[in-house]
Amino acid sequence: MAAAAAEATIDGGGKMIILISADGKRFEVTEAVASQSQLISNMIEDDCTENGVRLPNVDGDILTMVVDYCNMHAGDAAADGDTTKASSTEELKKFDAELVQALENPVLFKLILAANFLNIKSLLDMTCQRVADMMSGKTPEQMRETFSIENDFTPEEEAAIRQENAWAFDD
Amino acid sequence: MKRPKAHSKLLPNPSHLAFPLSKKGKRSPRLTSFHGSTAAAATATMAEAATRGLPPVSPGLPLPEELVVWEILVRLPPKPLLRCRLVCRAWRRLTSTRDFLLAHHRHQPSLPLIAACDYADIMYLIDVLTLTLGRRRGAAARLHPVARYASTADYLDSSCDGLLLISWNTGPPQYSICNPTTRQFGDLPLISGFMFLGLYQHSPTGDYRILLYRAEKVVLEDLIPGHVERDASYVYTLGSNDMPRRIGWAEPEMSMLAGHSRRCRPAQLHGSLLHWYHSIKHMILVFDTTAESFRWMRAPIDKTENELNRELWADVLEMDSTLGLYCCNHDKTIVNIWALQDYEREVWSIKYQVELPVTCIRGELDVGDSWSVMVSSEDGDEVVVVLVDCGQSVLCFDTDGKLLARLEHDGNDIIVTRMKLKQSLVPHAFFPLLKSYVAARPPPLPRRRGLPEEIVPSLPVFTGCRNCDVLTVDRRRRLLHPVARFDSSVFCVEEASCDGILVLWRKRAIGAHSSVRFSICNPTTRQSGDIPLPLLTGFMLMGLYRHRPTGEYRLLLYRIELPASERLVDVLIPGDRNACYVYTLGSGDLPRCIGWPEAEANGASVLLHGSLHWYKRIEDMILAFDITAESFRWMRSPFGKAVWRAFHGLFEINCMLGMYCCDDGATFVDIWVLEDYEREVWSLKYRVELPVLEIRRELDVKRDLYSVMVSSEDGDVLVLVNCKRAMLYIGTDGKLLASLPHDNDGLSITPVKLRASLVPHAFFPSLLDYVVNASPFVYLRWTICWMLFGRTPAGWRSTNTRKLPNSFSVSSRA
Repeated sequence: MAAAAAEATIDGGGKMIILISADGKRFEVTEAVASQSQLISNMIEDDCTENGVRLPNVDGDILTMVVDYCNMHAGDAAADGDTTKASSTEELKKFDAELVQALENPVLFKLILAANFLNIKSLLDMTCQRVADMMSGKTPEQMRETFSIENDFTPEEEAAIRQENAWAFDD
Repeated sequence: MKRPKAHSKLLPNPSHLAFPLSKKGKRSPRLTSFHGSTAAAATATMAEAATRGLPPVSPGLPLPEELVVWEILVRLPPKPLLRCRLVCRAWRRLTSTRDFLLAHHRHQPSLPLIAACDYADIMYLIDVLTLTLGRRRGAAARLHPVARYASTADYLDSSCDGLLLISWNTGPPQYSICNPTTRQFGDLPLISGFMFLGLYQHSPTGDYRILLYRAEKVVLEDLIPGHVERDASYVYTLGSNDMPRRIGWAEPEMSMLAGHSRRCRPAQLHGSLLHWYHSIKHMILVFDTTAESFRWMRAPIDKTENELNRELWADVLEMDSTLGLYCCNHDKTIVNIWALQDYEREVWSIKYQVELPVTCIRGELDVGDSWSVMVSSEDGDEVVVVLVDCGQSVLCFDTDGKLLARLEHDGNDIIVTRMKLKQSLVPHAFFPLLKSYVAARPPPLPRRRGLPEEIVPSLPVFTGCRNCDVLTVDRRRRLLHPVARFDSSVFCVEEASCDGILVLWRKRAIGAHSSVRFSICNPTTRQSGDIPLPLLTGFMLMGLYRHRPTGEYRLLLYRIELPASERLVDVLIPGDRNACYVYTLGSGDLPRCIGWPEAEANGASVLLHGSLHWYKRIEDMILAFDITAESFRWMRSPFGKAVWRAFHGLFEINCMLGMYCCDDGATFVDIWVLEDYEREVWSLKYRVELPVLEIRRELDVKRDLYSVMVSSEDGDVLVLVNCKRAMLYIGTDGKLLASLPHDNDGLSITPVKLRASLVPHAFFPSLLDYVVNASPFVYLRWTICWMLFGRTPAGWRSTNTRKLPNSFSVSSRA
């Protein structure tokens, strides 16, 4: 079945590729969609995708999101000539914003790991930017609390660091 | 500019990253590099190994350290990033490396810089703001303040790698450099007097350099030491002690870049080349920063085709990683934007033709057609934005002429500069080497309100003799700093100042005849008002102080015996003649007589240990007034015998009373300090031999037509020598520290010091004719501030025979 799928073609999409998540879920995507992942793109070049691509550290739920994302963005990653499938910029922005806004922290982190593992730069940029935005408004204490990081400074050291760039700590 | 190793694998299109499954089983030894190397770990076992090998930062942040640092923290704006350093040791260490800070700088957006003037509140503040459209991130457009300059007339000159070059336009061109992100600030005295052309990083060495030009006509010649050839270009390396190095290229067009003023249009740095659009030649001047050579390049605008092209509305810009050029037509209806398609062959192609929605602009701004147009490209996007500025608003349009945002700033005179700022926390080795270097200190960036007083230096006050300018002298920036200009109703600045408040002696029409009154003003907040008493003829001001127990501000006055002809107006206030009076500001009471007929004193007093102090020359004693007990007493002077000296006086040094005295020939100054206040023990601290020859040469005076005063700043004792052309700072070792040319022969040093204060006072509104930012303050626009050094004939000093600061005005002892 995998082999059949791999040979199947859809209009303008080229070969189909099967992605297999850690929990055994299978996703069928076009080569154009899948090659947004640098990892898979390299595998396609090396011709080792016939038996499906096993992604042992990406869960099915996460992979669903990644595939959704790649499907949406296939247009802008593909050649400029093929604009029929490209979603409008406005739609893409809306889709991206909704994708990351709704996520709980643990899911967001898993998505970052998946984007990093699959090497999808735009998804990694977007998800990491989301975490950075989350951190921006926080005090050091709030950051420690959010990310359960232990404060290993002595009170004197802490005071000294505050002193160094006092203006960054006043609001 | 080296990228960190692990991170480099993140570069888009890592074609070098051949998928290594073909070399099956050969696991990359560097699995710690989670990024990129994970491509090598595509099989289950390898991926697990990778995750196992890298413990996540914390259970709350289950991501490998490398991702957290190089993908998340690197995206934070500068301020939150500095806060992150306080989270834990690891974050502090990892976010402090140079590689990280360079990567962080690259992630910062490059934002258009806006300058706005704010003179509603405090005098002449220049706000520097960045404009974020936030289109890419879906955020709202906003103006974000990055710096605020408390000085009068400083222009932004250039922005490069997060650095801003500022020129001080009070007097001859002088420059400072700052990084508003790290709040580092330093002066560049070696390039004073040159014309600035561009700031860039010299890529072979990594040095930051400044391209300068020495024009035929220079504002002040003697500012540049040594022989410097005219009409030539020079290069100065930041942090270097060498004079700018001449590189030649003496073309008269160079000075045209600066137009009629000394301001040069900002250069566009593209690669290692600086570009300026030359509006008269319709050409682009290119400077190769590596080869240090110039050449001309074709511009797309045809002179004949675009005869209406005005200098103001055309310039080069950085666009889609190539060079762009925009030009707005005379009617301000169409903006053409070209891109340089082929750099080598100088092929331009028109990219956009933007029709400005003139009706919309007129409607939004409501200012007729007095707006200006600028084109900027938004970072990382292929979006070109047209910015229209006027008054308090900036309008942003996209290339379809659609209004994207309207931004407001409560200052005035918003100007969209042609510069962009890309914030940077990268440390620069040259900063600590700069003159008057300050780091993370607010002077260049004071906060809006509640200016902490201790950081505001208490500066000596000058008054221009034939006009009513009040200036302070700022040693750090080497400039005379105008704080106020009064209209001709002001007779003189009384020699009393306390907590940023000055007392003025002012002419007022009262009924049929004119008389004089005391005015109280705060030049910082520009508040002013008169003491609501009918007449204070016959009263002499001794001092202004804050009465500690009540917090009230009080005037100490001395009432003199008036001639019989003037007594009529004098009887309104009950009490003795020849006695001291205390008047509380804002109280509405009449001055209260406290006696002490022998305690007549005037001139500047020094407030210390809860007492005001005056030196009485005839008695050769120091008179002290206890402001709580309202009693006087005499203290010993350091001299022991009454001598007439040209220049002498009291001053405050490190919470101690100091006294200085200059010899008759003005060759040396003795400086005493009252070491034990209770037992009145004076000790001679310094005998400063004045560098007379140097002074004469510097001031270019044949005879000793100069005045001497001693002042303390930041705990340093300084001797100030003033004459009609310049003011000199001399250290206690007799060395000439700085020379401040002022070209105002009426300028005299007063013994009053002013410490700017924004603290509101309840008494101000209760004063008579209370005004803010009106007469006696002459309304000045920031653009003409530097003219404060000009002379206005008023001749007010001669009408005021009551008191003259003899000892501090220019002495003409032939």
